Amino acid sequence: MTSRRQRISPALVTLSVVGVLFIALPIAGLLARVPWTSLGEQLSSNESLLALRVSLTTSVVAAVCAVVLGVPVAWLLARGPQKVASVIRPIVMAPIVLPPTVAGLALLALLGRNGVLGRFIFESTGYAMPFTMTAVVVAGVFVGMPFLIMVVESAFFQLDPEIEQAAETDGAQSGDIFWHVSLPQVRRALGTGAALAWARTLGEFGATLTFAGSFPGVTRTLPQQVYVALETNLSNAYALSGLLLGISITVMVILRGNLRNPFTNP
Amino acid sequence: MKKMLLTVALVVGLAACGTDGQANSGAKPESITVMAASSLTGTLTQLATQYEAEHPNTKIVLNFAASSTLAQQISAGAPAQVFVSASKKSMEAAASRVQSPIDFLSNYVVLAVPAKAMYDPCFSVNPCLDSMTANVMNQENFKWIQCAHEVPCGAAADKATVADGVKTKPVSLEPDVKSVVTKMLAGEVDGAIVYHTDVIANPTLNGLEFMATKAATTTYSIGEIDSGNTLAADFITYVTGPAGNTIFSTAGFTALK
Repeated sequence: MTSRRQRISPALVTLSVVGVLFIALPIAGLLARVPWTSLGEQLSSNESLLALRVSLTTSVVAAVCAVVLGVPVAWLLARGPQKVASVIRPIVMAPIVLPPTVAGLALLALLGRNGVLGRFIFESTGYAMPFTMTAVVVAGVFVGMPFLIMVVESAFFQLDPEIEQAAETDGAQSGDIFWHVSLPQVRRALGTGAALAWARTLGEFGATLTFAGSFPGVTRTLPQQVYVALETNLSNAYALSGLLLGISITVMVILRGNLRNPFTNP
Repeated sequence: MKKMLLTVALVVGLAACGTDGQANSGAKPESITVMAASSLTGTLTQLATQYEAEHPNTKIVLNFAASSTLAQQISAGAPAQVFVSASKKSMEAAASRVQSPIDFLSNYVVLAVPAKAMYDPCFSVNPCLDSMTANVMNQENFKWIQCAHEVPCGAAADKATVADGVKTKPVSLEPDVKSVVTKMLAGEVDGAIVYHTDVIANPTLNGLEFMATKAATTTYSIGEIDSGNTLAADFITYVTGPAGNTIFSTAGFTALK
């Protein structure tokens, strides 16, 4: 067995150290400012709790929606006609690179009270989606689902089609093959995708503000509360940031194995 | 050789990460950065352009946001030379770096409604003594927004709605007045508390005034950050002088000097 250790270029080592510090130092700076002694007090303030509740509720609902809608899309992209897939894929992946404010504007243009679709809904039922908790969820699904689709599509693509063909030969219905053969094999990717979609939704700021506004207990999420607290209560902003950082790192620790090979390890 | 080229490329690439986008070659114009309240976006942009035209080789870089946000950034060391705040409170919040600011303008918040919306001024059943604006806002299903309580336009909105007896709540507390105006213009709400000057600037909007005029009023002040910059001092004199007065008065501000 040969050793995997190889001679490493000093220049690469230097740059990698700079790269690590580039990300680690601001995190350390944030940690230094978190008011640890009054953390419980800061996080249990009325406004923090309201924001925490809005964020947890909407991000979990959004993640569930992303799974329900995103898995079939991933299936279609991996197994459907590739000509169709190559047209759909860039569209459904677009929110990953779209500036969040633009995402919010897109949702407003479609579902706002004056929107292309929203206008008819408002005129016939009096319902308008902006400024509701539903709007926060919709914004979350829009920005989060592409991450789930990306990971799950790749997992479906890697599956050995022979197993499915064998099931088909044995007379299984295509629906049953999906539920009992294909889906169980991609469960790890599904978990990774759902966690990434959830985490992206939890951190959402721009699309939420543009589409849903910001009102305590209804649409003001944790990131928005941090932004408001920046101006009046800096230690509260740092306490909430500490909480969000803790969540991010926890998610990354849980996913570490899956993230290493998200595209090869179903 | 290949390796060395790679290293050079990486180092150059990294160095590029650190550039701040300023061209350093040639005759560099004297430049200052002005941090100003969102509600001054139109007027101050116009004034700065005019100033640059009259003073060759000067550059006024403008940065607009909620005054409270800017005060926080200035206190945290943001590199800027002039601060224009929409409230005395936000100016005081930047006091560590801004000495002796001047109060130079006043403005007041109103309820902006679509110009095409017709409101019966007294709502027939109510005696006209009531605040008409409050009556409009107290209607069932009247959806309105304002700035966050922390922002000057939100603080003025809070005072005015309480004084006038508004019983309904906004559906959103926006981070700055630009964001409030945008949502109002997009037609997502029935009303929005914005500045009188925002209504003047947008012909599709009508402004309903509050009875508690004093509560609705806010005072703008201007001051040099870390004093000692001659261009900054000169620009402040220009903004608070006749040139500024003309532009601000046209836009609907009240000049205090």
